[in-house]
Amino acid sequence: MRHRLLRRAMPLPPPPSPPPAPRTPGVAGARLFSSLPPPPPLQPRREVHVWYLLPDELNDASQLKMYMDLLSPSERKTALSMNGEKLQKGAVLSRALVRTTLSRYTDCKVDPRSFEFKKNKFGKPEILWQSDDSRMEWPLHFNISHTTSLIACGITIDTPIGIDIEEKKRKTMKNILSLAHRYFTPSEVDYLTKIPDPDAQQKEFIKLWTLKEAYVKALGRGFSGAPFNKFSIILAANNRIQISVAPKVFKDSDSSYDCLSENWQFSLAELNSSHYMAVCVEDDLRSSDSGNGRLPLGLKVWKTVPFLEDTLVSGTEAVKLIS
Amino acid sequence: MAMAAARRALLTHLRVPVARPAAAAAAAAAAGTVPTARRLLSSTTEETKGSFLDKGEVADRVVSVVKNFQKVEPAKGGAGAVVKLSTCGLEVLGSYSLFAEFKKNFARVTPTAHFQKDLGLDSLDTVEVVMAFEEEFGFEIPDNEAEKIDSIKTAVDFIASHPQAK
Repeated sequence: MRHRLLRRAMPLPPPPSPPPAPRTPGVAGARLFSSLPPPPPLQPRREVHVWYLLPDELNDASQLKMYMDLLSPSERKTALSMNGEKLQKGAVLSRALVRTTLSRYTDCKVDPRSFEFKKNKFGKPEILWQSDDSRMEWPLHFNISHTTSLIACGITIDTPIGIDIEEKKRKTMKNILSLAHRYFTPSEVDYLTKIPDPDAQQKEFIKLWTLKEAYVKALGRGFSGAPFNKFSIILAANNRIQISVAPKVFKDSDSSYDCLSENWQFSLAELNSSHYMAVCVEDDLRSSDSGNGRLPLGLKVWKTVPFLEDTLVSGTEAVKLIS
Repeated sequence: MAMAAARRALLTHLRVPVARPAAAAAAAAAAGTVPTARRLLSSTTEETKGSFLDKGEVADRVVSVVKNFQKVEPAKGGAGAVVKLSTCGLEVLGSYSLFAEFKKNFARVTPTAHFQKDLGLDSLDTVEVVMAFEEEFGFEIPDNEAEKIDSIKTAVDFIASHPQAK
């Protein structure tokens, strides 16, 4: 039962696999990536790099085993506790994507297997750096999002990040406006109500949803720490995305959340014409001003098959910036 | 009360493709008989317990809501039909693409099911499910409580301990 996932995956002649690496940093990590160029430098605070994979394209049993071997025992246990192969595979790929991507941004000095993770008090995953003199720390921040068809990992340096992906055509069970009435702000409901075409309305709802999710994930305080109906995302006509926080009323009985901040920057893009991707990072106040002079958030996107192939897709038709 | 039970029983197999009556009948049998029994019992229980719902009834209704909700993917070619209960009986409204298949996911909605691990629900699904619970039980679930509802069991525990649940 535990290896049902691996047995049923399509059997192909196994590619030459890397030598079994010890769980220590250093050369082993570098060797795993030896055929691929390192990622370009990541600008602290001004840039986001996103790496995504498509689970439906990854069916090679030996490849999946290689990814499975990167996971910690508890991650492996969690993945196998998911109900069904698809969910199990998604869980394995998700952890493998995070570990391999992070490793590359340490110049492969940290082996993908070596990373340890913790959750902040609200449950947001973060890297746990051991206070071990032999290893440096990298100020890396990451966040992942997955749908059944695409898993993405966003990386930044020195700034918290949130990322959310949704299928463009995703249908909700409930009517868009009733969902919006229940969870969004009045101005967002207004915005959606004014869209006559139901398809266009559904798409705008998904865009707002991904942007709001990305903000909540970037903040790292959980859904209840940043209630959706306490902040508005405004999709302005010039494609700028702004966030506006409802002023906290004095003696507000709903004091379960701290003051929300507005110094966050957003990027929204269409991936592969099939998904919306929203990214949110804390604003670099030093380089922005209140007018139009603010530099747009740098965004680079790769489609990846960890260890095997990277394709830079930003700047091509595969990544259409909406803002 | 009986009408509501009958309506609920019907609604639990509302989104069944016309092509699979056997499965629909099975679902109706499974979902239809128990709620009625529980409702008769729970009125006695309610008197003794105050305004809390009987946990068993809550569990059945929660499972029912999630089964109805189950994430469906748009079918290629739309192989199903929406049926609507009207005074003239069942009325087939035509084919649709949303609720086309009787997914095997339906069978995974057990009293121990975890939304993410067993049913593959994501955050938008969970938000919709919580809203469906609110409609079913007639009270608003605050965000900080909704965030903790990640499985059938946590939903049942929360709702059964909430005096405003109807």
